[in-house]
Amino acid sequence: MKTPSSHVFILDPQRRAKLTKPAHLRHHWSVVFVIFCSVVATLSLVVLATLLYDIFAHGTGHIWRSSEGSLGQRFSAFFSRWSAFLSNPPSQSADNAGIFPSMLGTIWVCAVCGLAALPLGVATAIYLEEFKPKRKLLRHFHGFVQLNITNLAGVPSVVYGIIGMTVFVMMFQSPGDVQSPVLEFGINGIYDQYESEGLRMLRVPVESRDAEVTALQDGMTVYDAQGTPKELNLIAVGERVPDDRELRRRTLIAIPDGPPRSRYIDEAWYYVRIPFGRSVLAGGLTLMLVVLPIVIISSQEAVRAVPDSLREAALGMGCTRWQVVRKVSLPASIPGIMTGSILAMSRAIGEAAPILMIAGVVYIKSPPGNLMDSFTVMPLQIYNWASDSHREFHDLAASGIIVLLAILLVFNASAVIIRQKFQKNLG
Amino acid sequence: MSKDLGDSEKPLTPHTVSARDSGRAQVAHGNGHSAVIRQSADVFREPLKAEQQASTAIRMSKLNAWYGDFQALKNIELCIPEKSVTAFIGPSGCGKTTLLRWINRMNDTVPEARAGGELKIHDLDVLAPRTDVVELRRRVGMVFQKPNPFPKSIFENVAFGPRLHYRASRSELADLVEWALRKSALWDEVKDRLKQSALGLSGGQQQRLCIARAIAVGPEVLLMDEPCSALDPRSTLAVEELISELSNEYTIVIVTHNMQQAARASSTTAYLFEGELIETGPTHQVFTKPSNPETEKYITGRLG
Ligand SMILES: Nc1ncnc2c1ncn2[C@@H]1O[C@H](COP(=O)(O)OP(=O)(O)OP(=O)(O)O)[C@@H](O)[C@H]1O
Ligand SMILES: [Mg+2]
Repeated sequence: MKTPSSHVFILDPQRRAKLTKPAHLRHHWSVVFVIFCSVVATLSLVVLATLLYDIFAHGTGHIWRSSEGSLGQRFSAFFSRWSAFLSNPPSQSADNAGIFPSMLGTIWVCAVCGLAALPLGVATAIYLEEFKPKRKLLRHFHGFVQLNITNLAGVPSVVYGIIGMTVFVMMFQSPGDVQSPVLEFGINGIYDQYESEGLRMLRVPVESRDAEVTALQDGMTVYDAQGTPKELNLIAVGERVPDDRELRRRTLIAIPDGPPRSRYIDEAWYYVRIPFGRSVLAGGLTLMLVVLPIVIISSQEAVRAVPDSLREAALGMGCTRWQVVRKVSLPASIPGIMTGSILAMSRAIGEAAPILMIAGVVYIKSPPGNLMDSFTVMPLQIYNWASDSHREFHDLAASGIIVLLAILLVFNASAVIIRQKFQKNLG
Repeated sequence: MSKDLGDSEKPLTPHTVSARDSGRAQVAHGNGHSAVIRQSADVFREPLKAEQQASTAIRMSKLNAWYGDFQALKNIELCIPEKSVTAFIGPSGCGKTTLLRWINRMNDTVPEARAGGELKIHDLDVLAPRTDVVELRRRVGMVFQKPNPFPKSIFENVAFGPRLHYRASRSELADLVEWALRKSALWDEVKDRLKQSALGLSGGQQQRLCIARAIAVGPEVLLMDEPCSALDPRSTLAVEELISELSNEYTIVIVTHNMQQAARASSTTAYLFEGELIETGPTHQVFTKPSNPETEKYITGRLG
C-alpha cells in the first residue's frame, strides 16, 4: 500500500506552513512559567523567613530583654543565660529551666536510630536491587516485600510507636520487667542506699536485686556516691550525733527497723537488659522503624541509578556479585544514599509522636547514662513548654526550637560535606 | 607463492583446525612463506602461522542459545584458533553479541537467556553449571561496545582486575598498570594524570583504557564487541594496531560491522546470519572467494 510522499504533510510546503505552531506563543508560555516559578519560590521563602523571624524573636528576645545594664553587661548576661539554657535540666522556674537532658536524649536516640537504620536500610536496598531472584516464586516474594516497604513509608508514625511499645518496650509480654529483668548484663554493683546524718549517700553492697538487707554493723565498709570506701559509724538511737563533719557524713542511726533505704543499681555504660523498657534503645529502635522505609527507598533509588554497564564491566573482570556491590555499585551510589539518609535522620530528629509513646510523659533531670536509661527528646520538651499555661515557657519553647534547628543544621552540614568528599573522589 | 595460498585457502573448518596431524603437516609449508603473503595480499593479515593453526582455543559444537522462546543461535559449529584474531561479522541482530557473551558467560546476567550444546575453552567446559564464572572471566576478558570505565582514577581502573585476582605489591602493580597502558597505546597521553578520574578522558581514550583494564588481568582470550564503533579513525587505527600486537599472546575475538576492519585486523572470519553460522575460514578466503553466495552479498554490501 504505497502512498505518494506528498501525503506526508511535512513534505507539502503549504500544509506545513498552515500547521506550524507559532513560535512566539511557545516563548510566551515559557516566560509565564518562569514567572510562576519565581513567585512560588519567593512565597515559600517569605513563609520560611517569617517563621524563622518569629522563632528567633521569641527564642532570643526574652533573654535579651531580661538582661540589664550597659551593652557589654547585657551581652554577657545574654550569653550566660544561653549557656545555662544549654546545660540546665528543665525546671519549675522559667529563669533556670534548660534543655540539657532532652538535647542529649535526642542525640542518643538519633545515634541509635542512625546506627540501626543505615546498615539495615542500605543492606535491604542492595538486596532488593542487586540480588533480584531468578526463580518465579522468589520473584513474587521479592515483589511482595517491595510493595510492603513502599506502603510502610506512608504509615503514620504513631503506629510505629505502638509497634515499638509491643516489640521493644515490652518485648511481646516477655516475662520480667524493668525491676526484675529476665536477662541483664553490665551491672557494676547492687547497693542499699542510706542517707547519712551528714546528708550524704552511703551505700552498702548486697548480693542481688532481691537479696536480704545486709545487717548494719559499726565499723563495716560502706561506699559514698563516688564509690570511695568509708568506715561506717553506727550509733544507737538517742546517742549524740558527732560534731565532726567528716565523721557525721558516715554516721547512721541504728533504728530497730533499719534506717530508710532504697535499692540502688550501679549500671555500667554498656548496661543492657531484657526487656528494654522505656529506654533510649527502645526509642531509637522505634525511630528506626519510622525512618527505615525512607532509607530503603532512597537507597534503592541511588543503587538503581548506577548504570548497568558498570556492573557488566565489573562482572566481566571476574568480580563475584558481592564484589560488584562492594567495589562498584556501593561506592557509586554513596552520594545518593547519603542524601536519603540525611532526609531520614532529619525526620528522626523532629519526630515526637512515637517517642511520646515510648518515653511517656516523664520529668527527666539528667541525660541518659546508658542505653537502658529513661530519656526524653527535644521535640517533647518543646511541646511541654509550648503547652504550658505560663507565657514565659512559650519563649523557652522558641529557644528550644532554635537549638533543635542548630543541631539539625550541624548534622546536615556535616553529611553534605562528607557527601561532597565522596563525589570528589569519584570524579 | 601460489602453492602456499592454495594451501591456506582450505576453509578453516572445525575439522581442519582441530585435527592436530593435519596442522603439523602444514608446518612445512607455512613457515617460510608468510612474509611473501603479507606483501602480496596487501590488506589481509597473514594466514595463521602453522604452529598456531595446530591448536584451537575455543571449540563450539551444536551450540544453541535462546532468549526466552526466541532462538538467537542455531547449531553453531566453530573453532577459534589460539593466538590469533577471529572476527565475527554479520548483519545487525544476527547473534554476534550473543555468541560473544556466551564465551565468558556474561549472558548469565540476562534472566531469560539459556544456552545448550558444547562450548569449550581448551578443556574448560564453559556452559557446565559447575564452571566457576569468576575464574572463567579471569581467563576470558571482555571489552564492551560502549566504553565503560569505572568512576575511579585511571590508575585504579587498570589496577581493578589485578587487585581482584592477584596479591601484587604496590610497585608490581604500578609496573603492570604502565605495561597495560603502554600496550593499549594510552600511556603517553595519561602518564601525568594517572590519579585523575577516568571519566575525564575522551571516548576513544576511555575505550583504550577499557582494553588496558582487560589485558591487565592477563587473560588467555580477549573478547571485543565492536570496540571501535565509538572511535575516530586515528583511535581505530591505534586499537587495530594494538589488536594485531596483542594477537601474539592472546586469542582475540572481535565483533565488527566494519568490513575493512575485519579484513585488516583478523586472520579468521566467521559470518553469521539470523543466528546461523553461514561461513567461516581464513579472512582472505572469506573476503575474496566466499563459498557461500550469502556471504558474498553481505561483504559486497548488498545485504545488511
Ligand atoms: N536480552 C535480550 N532479550 C531478548 N532478546 C535479545 C536480547 N539480546 C538480544 N536479543 C535478540 O537476539 C538476537 C541477536 O542479538 P545480538 O545482540 O546478539 O545481535 P548482534 O549480532 O550483536 O547485533 P548488532 O550488530 O546490532 O549488535 C536479536 O534478534 C535480538 O533481538
Ligand atoms: Mg551486538
